[in-house]
Amino acid sequence: MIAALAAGVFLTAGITCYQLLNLYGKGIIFSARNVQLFGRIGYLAFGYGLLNVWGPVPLMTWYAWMQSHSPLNSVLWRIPESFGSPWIIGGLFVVVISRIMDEGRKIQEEQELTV
Amino acid sequence: MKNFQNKVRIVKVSKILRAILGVGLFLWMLAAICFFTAIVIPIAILPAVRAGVHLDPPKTYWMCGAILCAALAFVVNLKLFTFFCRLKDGHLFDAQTVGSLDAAGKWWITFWIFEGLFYQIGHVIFQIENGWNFGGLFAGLALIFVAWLLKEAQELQEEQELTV
Repeated sequence: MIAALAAGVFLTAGITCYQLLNLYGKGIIFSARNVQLFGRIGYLAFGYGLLNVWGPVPLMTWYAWMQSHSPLNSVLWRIPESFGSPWIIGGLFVVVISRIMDEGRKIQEEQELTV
Repeated sequence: MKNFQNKVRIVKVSKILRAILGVGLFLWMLAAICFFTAIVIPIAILPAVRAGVHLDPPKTYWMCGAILCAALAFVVNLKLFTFFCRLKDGHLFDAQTVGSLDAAGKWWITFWIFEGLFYQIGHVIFQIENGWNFGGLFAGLALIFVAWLLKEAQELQEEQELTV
């Protein structure tokens, strides 16, 4: 199920990237749609990272419970792994970039109004 | 008001990313020091290694390459750290912010090329396992692309300031 979810996230991210590059291809750099697509890619990457790191936790906990081990150890290791995950950091990075692009869009709109 | 809220969000997330990259800087430095000491200490302590009797060429190659890889990764990390420092201070569209991101992308591509050479040469000569992929190239190109977009926004802002 986790693999299917991850594949779905990947597919959606791929389609979103295609749509974004299509807009750039048309010469549209700062528009609300660009910002929305950028943000979506960031959230998808962030979600994929979370799924990668925390997805197997329920299964691991169940196994540990079945074998009468404490699941706490394996769960605790997931916390530093979350901070080191390139998908989570990359996702946050893209979200920041989308916010910066939003600022750029506002500047462009203001400039168009000025002209 | 919305503009202000957006900036606050950027600063908040930048602070988090900057903290993570700060830890990364420390870890890359530590890794480079560890690899360096792993080469130097046996040479200094063991006479047989100093005399070249017990040399292990694959291990030495791996260690030397790893030092350079750690150094290049440190530079990429440093550039990204600088970028987020600028964002945290609220400098969204200026030459230094855009320059940091562009430099990070270029250094990442350099790192990728070096890593590729390191693994290919090591694989052919010392049968080192090949761990090279295209992730670094993609990340570097993506950073350069985003830097171009930010440069456009920087130019827009400069034009607007001139108009006002």
